[in-house]
Amino acid sequence: MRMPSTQPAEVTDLVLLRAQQGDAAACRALVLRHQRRVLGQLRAMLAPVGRAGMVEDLAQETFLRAFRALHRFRGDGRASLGTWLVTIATRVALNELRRRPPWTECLDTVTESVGGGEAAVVERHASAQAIERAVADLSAAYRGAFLLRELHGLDYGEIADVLEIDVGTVKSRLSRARAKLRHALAEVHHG
Amino acid sequence: MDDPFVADPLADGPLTHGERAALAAWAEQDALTGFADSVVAAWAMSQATEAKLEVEAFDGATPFAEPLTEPMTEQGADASVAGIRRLGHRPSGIGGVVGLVAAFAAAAAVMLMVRVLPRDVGSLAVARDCARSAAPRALESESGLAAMERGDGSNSDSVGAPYSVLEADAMAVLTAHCSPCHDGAAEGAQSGALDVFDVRQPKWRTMSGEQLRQTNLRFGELGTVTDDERRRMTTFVEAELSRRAHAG
Repeated sequence: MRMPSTQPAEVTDLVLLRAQQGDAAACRALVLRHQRRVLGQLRAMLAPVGRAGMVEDLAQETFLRAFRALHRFRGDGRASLGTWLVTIATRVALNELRRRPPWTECLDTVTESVGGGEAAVVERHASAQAIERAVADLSAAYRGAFLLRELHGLDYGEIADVLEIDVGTVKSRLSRARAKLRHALAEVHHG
Repeated sequence: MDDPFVADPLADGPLTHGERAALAAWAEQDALTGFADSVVAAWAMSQATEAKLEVEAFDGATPFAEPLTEPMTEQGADASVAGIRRLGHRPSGIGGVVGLVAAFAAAAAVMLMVRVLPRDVGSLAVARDCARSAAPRALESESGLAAMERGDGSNSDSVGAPYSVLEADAMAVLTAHCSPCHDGAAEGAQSGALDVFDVRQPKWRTMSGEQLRQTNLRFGELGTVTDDERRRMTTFVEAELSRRAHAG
C-alpha cells in the first residue's frame, strides 16, 4: 500500500554515525530518508522492461548492501549518501538484468487507458507513456547512465565509476539516450 | 515562448528543464508503508547469520562459507537473495511485530558479539562494491602454483624462497581483484578502502591470525574470484600462520 511521502527531518551526520555503528533506529531513519530516491531509480530501471515486481526486493537488497559497506562511506563532499545509495541501486538493477535478461519489453506501469478528461491530464499521461517507451528502448547500460545523469545529477566521472566504463562512453550513451527521449516527447507534443 | 519539447527534437544536448521535469514526474515513486521496518529486520537477520558463519569459520569448519549476497553460482544467487528478501517482508499484525522484536533482539546479541571481536576483523569485509570487473581477471602467474605443486610448505627452514613466492602470488590475486580502490598507487584509490588495506603496503606481519583468516574468508566470498585464486590465497595464509607458529 502506498502512502503520500512524509519525509522525516533531515538526517544529520550524527544519525549517519550511529547507523555506521549499527544503531537500528538510525538505519531505519536512513531508509525513511532515502527510500523514495532508491525506489524511484529502481523503478525507472526495471519497470520499462516489465520488472516492476522486483523493485521492492531490490530496494531492500540495495539498503542491505549499503549497510554492509556503510562503515566505509565518507561524507566528505565527494558524494552524498543519497547519491551513493542510488549508485548501489543502479548496480543492483544492472546485475539483476544481466542475471535474468528480459525476454520482452512491456509497459506494465503506464498502460491503463485514460478516459476523456482534462487535456492536461491526457497529455501528461501520453508524455509518461512516451518516456516509458523511450526508456524501455534503451539497453540496461544506457538506461543506467541516462537516469544517473538526468534524474540524480551525477557527473560523467561518477557515472563512469559506477558503470565501470570510460567517460567517453558515458557521453556517447547519454547523447543517444537524450535524443531518443527528446524525439519521443516531441512526437507526443505534436501528435 | 520557447517550446521545451520542440526546440530541437533530434538534438542530443542536455535536457531542458521541461524535459527533465517530465522525466522526474514519470520516475517519481511514493514511499512504501512498512518498507523501512522490513529493511531493518532483514539487516538484523543478516547480521545474525553472518555472526554465526564467522563463529563456524573460527572453528575451521567452513573456510569458505556460503556468501550471503554474491554467491558464485546462478542457483546460489537466487537462493541467497531470495533468502535475504524473505527475511524482511513487511510485517503485518501481531505476528509481524513479534517477529520484528525477535529480530531486534537477535541484532542486539549480534552487536554484543561483534564488539568482542577485533574491530579490524569486521572492517576487513572486502569491498565487493569496489571489485571493478564483473568478469574474473585471469592471472598469468604460475609461481604460486609451482610452489604448491613442489609441495613447498610452511617449513621454517625454507620459508624464505617459497614463502616469498606465495606472498607475491597472494598479492597478485589481491591486486587483480581489489584495485584500484585498495591500491595506494592507483589513480582510482579510495581512502576508505586504503584504511582497510593497501595492496602496495601489505600488513601481513601486523595482522592477527584471526584477521588473516577473515581476510581469506572475505576474499573467497568475492564473486569474481576463481577457485585457483582462492586456493593461492589460502595457501599463503596457511604458510604465514605456520611460519608464525614455528617462529614461536
